[in-house]
Amino acid sequence: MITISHLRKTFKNNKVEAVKDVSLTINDGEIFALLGPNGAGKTTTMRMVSTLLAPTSGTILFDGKEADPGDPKLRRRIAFLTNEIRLDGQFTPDELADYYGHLYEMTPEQIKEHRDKLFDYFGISEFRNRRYETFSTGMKQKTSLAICLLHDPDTIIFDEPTNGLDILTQHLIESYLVKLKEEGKCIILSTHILDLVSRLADRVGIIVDGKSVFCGTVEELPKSRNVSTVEEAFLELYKENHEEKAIIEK
Amino acid sequence: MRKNHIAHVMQSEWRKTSKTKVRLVMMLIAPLLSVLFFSWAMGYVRNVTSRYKAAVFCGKQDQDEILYENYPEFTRMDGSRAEAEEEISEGRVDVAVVVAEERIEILYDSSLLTSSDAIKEASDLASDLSFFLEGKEYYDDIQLYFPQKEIIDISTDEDKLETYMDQIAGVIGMIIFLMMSSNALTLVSGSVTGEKERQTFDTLVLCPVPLWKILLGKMLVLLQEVFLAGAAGIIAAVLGMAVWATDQFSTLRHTVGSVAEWLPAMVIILLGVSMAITSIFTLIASAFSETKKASLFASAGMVIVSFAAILPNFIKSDVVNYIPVANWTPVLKAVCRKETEFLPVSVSLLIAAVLLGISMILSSRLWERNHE
Repeated sequence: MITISHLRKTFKNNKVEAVKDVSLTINDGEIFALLGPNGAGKTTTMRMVSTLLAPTSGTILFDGKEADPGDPKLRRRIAFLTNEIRLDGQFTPDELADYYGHLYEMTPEQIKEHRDKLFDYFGISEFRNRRYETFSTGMKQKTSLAICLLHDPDTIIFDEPTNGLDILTQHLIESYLVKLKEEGKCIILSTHILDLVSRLADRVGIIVDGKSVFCGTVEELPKSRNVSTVEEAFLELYKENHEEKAIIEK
Repeated sequence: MRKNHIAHVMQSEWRKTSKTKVRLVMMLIAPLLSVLFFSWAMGYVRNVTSRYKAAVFCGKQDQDEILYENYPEFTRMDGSRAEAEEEISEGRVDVAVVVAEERIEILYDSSLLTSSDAIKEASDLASDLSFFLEGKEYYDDIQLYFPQKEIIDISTDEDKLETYMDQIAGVIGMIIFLMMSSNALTLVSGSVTGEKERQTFDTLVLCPVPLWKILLGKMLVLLQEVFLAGAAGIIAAVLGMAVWATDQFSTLRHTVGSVAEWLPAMVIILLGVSMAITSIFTLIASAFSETKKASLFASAGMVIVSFAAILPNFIKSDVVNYIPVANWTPVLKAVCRKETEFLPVSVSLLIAAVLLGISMILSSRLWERNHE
């Protein structure tokens, strides 16, 4: 379980406040969708949760213990994937699995077992000896996903993982997310696709202008604003909490 | 398991190098070709200069004034063979024709002479002179009574070696440094700055391995690659000299002694240079997240390396022997004269190692800091 309390992050000597006050709770065995307009602070929040960024203030607790970004044990528990993350283009999927598997201190047997399982699921096996740079966008994303999940993490953070992918690849990734959830993993998913939230997510967190304005189940979201859909509820929350001033400043 | 992280990163970096043809070409072929080209160019320049200073030392021999009209470069001088040698050694004359009793000598110093025309002209003049001196009286037995003509190279082995060393350690040495530096720039901007530009950095940061270990692995591979580039450059320089400066090269072969005598010093000094170059360029590369910016600032690294290489021209002190890169020329000359002192060479290697360590610490902080 991840508990985020009053998280704040500033850049450029406090001149830019990307995240102002975010508090969320994400349980094990659930898919938690993080929603918010562009520039709301979703990615920064996810980068802090994944230990890629240190918060300016606030706390992130993993199973009640404060996250230490330098703790290798914590890093071994986390996988972070965005549609921006790339892998070395000269390497083949096999070589990438070997490289990152060793960096995650996996034994050759573990690497082989996990790699074969993931490669088979995502249909990478027949391309395992081709260079990553020669792959299509979808194949690159599937390979990145397989490499990110190679070390069998229990916290999986996905920042818009299905952006720009075809329906088949989207479906494959979504199915895998459900499978991971059933295995008891904690999954945080950031997306703009509200339909995906309705279909996959158990709980939702909404961030507007760097502040968390909702955290609850998908069913609770429309009810909280007396509307019938997630989309309508999201728009209502946005209108209520959006600071016009922030846009002018930006 | 943990102790293998650095080795694993190194193995991966080497795998990348072997797959990237540009990296391989930059590392081995480019230094080889450039040094060979410059060796050839230097040899060519030495032999195509048409201008030279020449003199005829004729003593009291009677000579035909008209003869000299065909050889305007030659000045008539009264003097002995010893004086001719002195004029050549002092650089006032490139080639001298010394006329003595029953003998004409053409003197030159192969370590100083830059014109191939000079000896040919001097030889022609000597033939004409010998005909004038004896031939007109004994025309029928011309071959028998002609004064003996001999072409003599008055340069010593030391002179030849000095010229060779000036070439190999000076201009060609500078080219080798520049090739090593440009190699380091290309390789390090790809493997360190490039991780951020290609957005592969996040995946590395998320691994439970400290960043400094990953950076150290990358630095060690860079060090090996720069070392190999330097070694390729030196081999090319020696090959180039063997083909285009045969006199100096054969002298060198007789002087330097066995491999066991010069190889350790050569390896140590090249390792020191490679460490210094690796330190400078890794530091620059780790401070930027765009390869274009890193390349721009790396030109400052090139200036530092070039400046260090020419330090012996300004500092006439043994202190130079302790400074990495700057000790290149003096140590190389000492190696060829079998006068290598291992203390300054070892100290300079130690300094380079400390530099590498400091660079590692600063670079890993810069690499991580820039991430935000």
